[in-house]
Amino acid sequence: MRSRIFFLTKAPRDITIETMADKPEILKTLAESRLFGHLKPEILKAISEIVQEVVVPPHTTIATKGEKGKSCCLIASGSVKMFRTGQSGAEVELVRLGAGESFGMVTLLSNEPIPTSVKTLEETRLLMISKDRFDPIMRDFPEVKEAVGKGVSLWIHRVTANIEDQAELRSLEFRLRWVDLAILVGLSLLCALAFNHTNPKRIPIIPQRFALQGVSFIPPSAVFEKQKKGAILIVDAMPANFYEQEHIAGGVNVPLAIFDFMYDLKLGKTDKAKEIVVYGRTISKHYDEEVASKLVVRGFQNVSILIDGLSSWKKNHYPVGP
Amino acid sequence: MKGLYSFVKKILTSEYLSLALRVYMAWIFLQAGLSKIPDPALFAENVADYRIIPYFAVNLVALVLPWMELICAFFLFFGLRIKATATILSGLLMMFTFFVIVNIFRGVSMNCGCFDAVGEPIGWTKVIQNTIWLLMTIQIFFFDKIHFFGMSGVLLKGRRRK
Repeated sequence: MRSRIFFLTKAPRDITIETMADKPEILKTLAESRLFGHLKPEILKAISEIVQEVVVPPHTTIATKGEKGKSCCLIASGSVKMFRTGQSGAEVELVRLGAGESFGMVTLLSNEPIPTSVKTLEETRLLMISKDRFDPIMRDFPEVKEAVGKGVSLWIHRVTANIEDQAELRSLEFRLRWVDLAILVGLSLLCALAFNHTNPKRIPIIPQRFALQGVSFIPPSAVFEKQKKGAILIVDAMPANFYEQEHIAGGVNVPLAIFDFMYDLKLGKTDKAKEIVVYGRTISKHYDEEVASKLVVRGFQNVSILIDGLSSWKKNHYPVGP
Repeated sequence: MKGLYSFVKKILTSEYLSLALRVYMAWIFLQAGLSKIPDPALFAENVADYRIIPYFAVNLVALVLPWMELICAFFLFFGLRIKATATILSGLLMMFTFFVIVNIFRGVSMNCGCFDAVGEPIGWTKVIQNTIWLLMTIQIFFFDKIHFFGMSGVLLKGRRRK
């Protein structure tokens, strides 16, 4: 049957609902409910006599905060949300309730206004218990009143826990966490290594050291003496901007980055037997080793690396220049 | 005067300013990351030019840094892990600024390698630019509130209810 109904509040709602009175089904729902499930069968039977079963369409507001309540509801199937409307008009969800749970217990105990609004989330079957008809049962069976009080208490705990959860999540969302930093760094590392693995221009993760076969090491004093005699060619392997800032006087700049081009330009016609001393290394790159190796490959038979490079040269107060 | 002060304070602490700065910084770091990722060897040369990172770590830094910039750009844009993202970007900007200042005092004329292989020469202009970007990330860290993709949905799932 279809009928108009006054819901939890006194205000009439234009909700068309269907009532489906079915005693065994109602008794089963009451017995499975959290609120009344532990009560004796005769009490459940008494309650079943006064409940009205209704089906509410989805997204229907069943109760509005501040209005005076008339009944309590047990959810037989479906789900509802209890919420308050904030100052901005946004709905702040307090808790969601599903089958076997109940709301509106406060109404049964007092004449206080409804503390929260209630809306269905889907088609929901409710067992409605009118306060007027429930009062005599509470009078006759004290355990029913106790059950309702316990239900209210549990509901308050549930809402409080939900609010705490939401506050915690909110604070987590706007808090710096080490795990987030680790995720970002880890993700960057993973992407970098994976991309480098497939990149045609890939580079080794740790720079490779050169074997330096046929390359010897020479101290600054020996280089200085040989340079005075003109028996040696000094090669600066640093990038041009570093060379321009400071270099060993008389040194030729053959930067590693443009080695092939500069080799042809500056060393292409040099006698392969001539002694060459290479220098140029920083904390970040060993330019000297790479250039020395390349010179050996080009056929130079007497290639050395200046021990401790430009810094040791300067320590000995040997001439430097731009 | 008091009205002006409160107006400026309101603007500087605005979450809408944070949102605008997030989009701007995301764009900056997206460009920075994408320009360096395809040719890591070239960027490794830039890193080595600063002469601060040890020899064995240069390639790893050259590989990871652009990806970190790119991923942080995405996180900033979509409003994910904003505190962590802003912290990493602030750290990177402080590091870049330190590197630039050290090399300014060393007196070497070099390119910063920030956005492309040729790049802009380092100088005090670059230091000022980095400092402004650093202030922007600090504003995002403290005042960002607008998230289109929050964590709540993910965290709430599977959370046991009493």
